[in-house]
Amino acid sequence: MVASPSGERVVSVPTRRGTALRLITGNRQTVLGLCALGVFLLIALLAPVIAPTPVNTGFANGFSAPTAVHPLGLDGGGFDVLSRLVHGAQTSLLVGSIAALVGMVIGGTIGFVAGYVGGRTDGVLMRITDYFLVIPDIPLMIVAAAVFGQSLTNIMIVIGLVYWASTARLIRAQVMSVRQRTFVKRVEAMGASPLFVLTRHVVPQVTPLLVANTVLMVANAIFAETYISFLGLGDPSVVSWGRMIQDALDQGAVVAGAWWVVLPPGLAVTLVVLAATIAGQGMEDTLNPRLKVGHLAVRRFRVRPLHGALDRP
Amino acid sequence: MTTSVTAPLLEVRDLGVDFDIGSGQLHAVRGVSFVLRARDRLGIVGESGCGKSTVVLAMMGLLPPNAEVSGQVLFNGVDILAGGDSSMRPHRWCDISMVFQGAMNAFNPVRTVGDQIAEPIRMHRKASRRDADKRVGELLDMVGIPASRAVRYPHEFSGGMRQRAALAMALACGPKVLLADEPTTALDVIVQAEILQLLRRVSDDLGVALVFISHDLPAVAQVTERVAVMYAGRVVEEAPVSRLLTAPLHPYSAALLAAIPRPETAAAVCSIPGEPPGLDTTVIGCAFAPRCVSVLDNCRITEPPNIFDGEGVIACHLATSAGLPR
Amino acid sequence: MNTPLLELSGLTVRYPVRGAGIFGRSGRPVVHAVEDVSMTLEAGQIVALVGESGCGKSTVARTIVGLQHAASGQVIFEGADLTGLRARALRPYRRAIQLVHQDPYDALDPRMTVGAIVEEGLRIHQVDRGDRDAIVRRSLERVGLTPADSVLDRYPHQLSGGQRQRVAIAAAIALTPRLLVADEPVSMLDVSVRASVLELIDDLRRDGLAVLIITHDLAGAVMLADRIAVMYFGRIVEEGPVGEVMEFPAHPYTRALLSAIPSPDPAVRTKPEVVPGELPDAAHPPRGCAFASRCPVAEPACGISIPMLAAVGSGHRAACFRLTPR
Repeated sequence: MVASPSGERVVSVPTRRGTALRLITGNRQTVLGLCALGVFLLIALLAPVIAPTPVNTGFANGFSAPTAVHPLGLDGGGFDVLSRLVHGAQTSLLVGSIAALVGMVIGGTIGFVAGYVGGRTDGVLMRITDYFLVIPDIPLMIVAAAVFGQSLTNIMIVIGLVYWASTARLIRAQVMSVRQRTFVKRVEAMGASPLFVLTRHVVPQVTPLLVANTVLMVANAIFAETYISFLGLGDPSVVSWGRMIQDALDQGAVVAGAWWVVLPPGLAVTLVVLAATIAGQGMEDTLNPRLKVGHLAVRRFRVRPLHGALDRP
Repeated sequence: MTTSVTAPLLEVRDLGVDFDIGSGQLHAVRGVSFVLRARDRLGIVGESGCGKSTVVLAMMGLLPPNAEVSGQVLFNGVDILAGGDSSMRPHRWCDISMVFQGAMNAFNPVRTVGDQIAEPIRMHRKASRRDADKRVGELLDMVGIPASRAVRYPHEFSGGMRQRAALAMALACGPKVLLADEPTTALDVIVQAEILQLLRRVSDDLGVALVFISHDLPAVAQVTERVAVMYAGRVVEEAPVSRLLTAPLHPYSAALLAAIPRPETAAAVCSIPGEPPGLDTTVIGCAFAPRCVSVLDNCRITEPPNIFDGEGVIACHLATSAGLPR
Repeated sequence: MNTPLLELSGLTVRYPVRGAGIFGRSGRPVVHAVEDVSMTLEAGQIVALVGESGCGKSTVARTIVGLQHAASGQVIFEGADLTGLRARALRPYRRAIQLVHQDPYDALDPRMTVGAIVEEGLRIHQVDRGDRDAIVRRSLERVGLTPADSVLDRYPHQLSGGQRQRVAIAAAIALTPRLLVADEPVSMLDVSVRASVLELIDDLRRDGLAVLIITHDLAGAVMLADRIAVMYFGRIVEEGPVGEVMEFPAHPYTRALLSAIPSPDPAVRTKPEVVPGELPDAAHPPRGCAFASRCPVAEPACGISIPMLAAVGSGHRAACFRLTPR
């Protein structure tokens, strides 16, 4: 209880936990998505252990329906589908995370610089960003894969290069918005250096959004990797889900009615992308609470209309 | 228009609004009742969080889905809350209309103002374009905007003019009741005075009953004849405005009055120590008791009933005037 | 005659209006936010800068604290010209002059505790680490948040508006400034809380602080200020001792403002002494007096040239061709 001369009592509001914790646990969607991702991550990490058989061993000459020994059967080349699936998880998640990280680093940096410095720098950076935004992503990735070679590293970099632009725009907008906040101006008026403001106020406010956005980018990246591999431009030396789907088609699995070859990789991609999307969107929702009772917020009669989400009476 | 003195146009009976916010409930409005007859002008005054805006939003059926509304809102004797949105909709705008808080920003920036004022006319009255435009001209004239401005866009209007346009829009379908939620709050004092004049004039000329919500007691006093003071979701006092301003019965009303700066007298201005109770707390006894200078022991135990004293309502244990409880 | 603490001399501030080119270069139209403003403030004085929104008073405040560059004119603090000083040279003045913002709900970083917020200024100005804790506590208690321990670890969202504003003031006085610029310090607070915060500001005078209070609320300003300056459309139109200006307002705009304040007496109908009209376009200022379009006593001469401030009483000046003699 605080007693001031006017006897004002501290309003009781549930304490907010640290943002990091809140980001992860604040939303049921996020928890669900992250748990699902965690499961896939575990599968990917334990791939060599889980896979019932070594991945590159052929067992027969063609399709074989699921049995106890091979729970997902054999594909057209005689390889165990489950083993390939589980190893494919490694590829997809690895590529997804690194590509998203690349995108986050590039997009985040450009966003921060453009939003903070403003002026001509911002103008120039944003025009470059616009260029990358409008480039059709898949054709660019195809061209890049064709030109720079089909290695896993190249794919990761290419995906990151294509997807950083939307992150940059988002971060820039957020940085600019934070800079206009009264508490930032107050501290600037006190004589804080731009670096001080950036590190102590802007970055902490913007970083959670960056994290949420990166999780969403993971979804995009995994999907992109699948696409590339499906088109045959992926790394031929590793197993990936996209490659499995391509192989399935090439081997005539559909015609042969071998559903156990086509369905699992497709389903796996769908689930992982869904999990990442749900988690990322859940995080964004946590950061952007539009309380249904926003209109009961204490902020009231303003002399001038202000920024702010809590607008309704 | 002749109205029988005994038949109220709008009657709010024991209105209560709770919001379900997942982690609990917010009790925004508790047992609010008042009566509005044709041409009445009622003010609802209170500070932030007292529930005054929630009351009018409930009357219009415009609360978010997590609101639980109890009580009745009777328009010409019929409970318009009873049937949900479908029973409310025919009354909206044609019978009961509203000017929202921040109405200046309620305009669609990519459509002309005339278009937007015409919209309810064309919707509810199925009027032709030409008839609607004619009516728009009449409305703009009534609120003091040159009719030629109808083809302009909202950003070409000043704040005060947009507020007038919002008023025109609210009057478009000839409602009998107008709810004005903080219509002058974001305006400069001179423009505010002009809008208050306008509200008075419109109410007189069109015979519209007015409910004026504000935190600004002097502004409300300029327009209305009766004022209801709200605190923590309840009406703590309702009285004719002259009585309230000269001899308020409820300690909160008195404190509000004492907090108004008066440049002429240079009297010391007092603030009220403490805070209103949180909306999520269940109040025991009188909600104002912790801050009341005249608090009695009973105030902390039993909630004061509404006491009707002939001129108005007072919810306070101190009220010793005889009267039947409502 | 002592050097005034603060002197503004011919201060002019202009903003470029949007219209960015393809690489972010700004377009041509320019808003004349502040034109030729000159005034002084002595140590220990409270001066109120009063005007409606858009008149430039907040721009003046921001220019004084260095958040805004002046196009021409000077800001002289304790005899030193601050305009045109580079950031490094400006630093000591950023301690001596502190700004309190209008919005207590946004003025505090929601991620920082109260203690950290108040300490931040000390950190920026590299006050000795060992002294900081004591200074923070002292500041919090000075603004009435006692015991300091109970607020130090709180987050802004756990405090009421009034308390947040006190924290902002504590953060400001922790640096022992000599001038406090308060930009609408209470306009976003509930009426019942305003008086106590204004009292606090008044009380800070005892510590040798001078205060420039920016407000649109004439009545509130009067409670606090020794001198008052009225601004309209970027210029000071009247200034003088507060009692004198309130009792004998010379400029028609001041009179209009005073007449527009809603009287709490319902028998008195507020009638603003102003011709209905609009503020001129800020990007295209009129040739003569900016108030002419709304002035009840305007003459043709008023549209030709801009009136300058001239004495109408002792220490009392107004800028009007039709000065009303006492």
